[in-house]
Amino acid sequence: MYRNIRIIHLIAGLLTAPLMFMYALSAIQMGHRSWFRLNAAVHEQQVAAPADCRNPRALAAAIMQSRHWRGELSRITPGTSCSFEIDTLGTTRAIRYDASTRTLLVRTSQLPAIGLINRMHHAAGLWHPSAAMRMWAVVVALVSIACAALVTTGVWLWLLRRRERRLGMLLITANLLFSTLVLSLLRTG
Amino acid sequence: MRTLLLKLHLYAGLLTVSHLLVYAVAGLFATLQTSRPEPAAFHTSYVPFATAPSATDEQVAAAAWRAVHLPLTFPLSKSELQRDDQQNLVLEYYTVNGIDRLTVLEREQRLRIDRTHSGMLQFLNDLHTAMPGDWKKPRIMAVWAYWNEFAAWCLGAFSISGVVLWIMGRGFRWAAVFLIAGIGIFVAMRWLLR
Repeated sequence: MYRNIRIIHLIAGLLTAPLMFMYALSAIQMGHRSWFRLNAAVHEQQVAAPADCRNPRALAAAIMQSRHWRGELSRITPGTSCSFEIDTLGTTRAIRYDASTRTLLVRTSQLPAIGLINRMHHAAGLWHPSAAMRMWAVVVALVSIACAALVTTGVWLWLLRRRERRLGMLLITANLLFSTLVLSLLRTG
Repeated sequence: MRTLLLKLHLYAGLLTVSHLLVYAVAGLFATLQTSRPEPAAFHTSYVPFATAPSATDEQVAAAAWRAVHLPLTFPLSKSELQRDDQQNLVLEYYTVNGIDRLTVLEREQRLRIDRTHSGMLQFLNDLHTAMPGDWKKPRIMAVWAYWNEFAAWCLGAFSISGVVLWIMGRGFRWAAVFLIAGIGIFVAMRWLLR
């Protein structure tokens, strides 16, 4: 029994260790914003427009295809000089169509690595149109299930160990009492 | 050395059990959320409230807040005050239990109180974000936030100590496949999402 539970704990832990570390690091970053620099690197470029602006979605699709850009379309402003954004986590391309020159002004903002990790922490949900985001949502769900499994198997493993029983009981009781009390007080206002 | 690390891994885990479960619930909740979640229904009530003719908006807001005693909130700052289409002063308070909105109906000399009540999953999801340094909070919320930050540090430590414990132990070498898979998933997702 002990061996089997240990194997489950080990597999869940090793499989999700990089992602758990990412969540922990980004949580600490959000709690201590002054410790990290999140300034995005910005650069602008002008590119030929593959279509005009009558249908901003079609224009966006054409430019994404020709430039091999991925992402989700947002902030669409229709008109003769339409604008829109193509977003991936950590990278935003703000695009404006210039009708006089039939070109697109592309302003790309790219977050540093810690910024991308921050965005990954916030991203979830199976509703996203992009396949990569939906894939990420599945990963988030699996990490969450693994987290619950790690807690369950961890407590189980501790219960099967005699030596750490007394201090362990004190610690888990303290945590559960604290959480029950604080959450009840918060919930009832 | 390994025994000491194992004890720290175990005890820190037991000390943060409920927080880690909150993280798990928050992750599943976020996965199943829709792009535009149904707005929570407001429960509306009214209380009498007279404004002093010479009071500033900030003073009226503070008086309204004192009159209603909304739990887990603080008086709003000047920059947080809003007005609706009828130019009524609107005060919105966000808490882990939902949104509380006060509308000062000066002509009617009363306060409109609209309150939402988040479901349990939303409540837990909001709780997992609480950290000590990010905003002014009631003492009870601050207590939770400090333990939550401790749990976040522990989560990072668990992922490192777990791998180190496995490396220091003699068995289960085959489990390297799962660590490599985990790193692979992270690197692939990072590349795909960028």
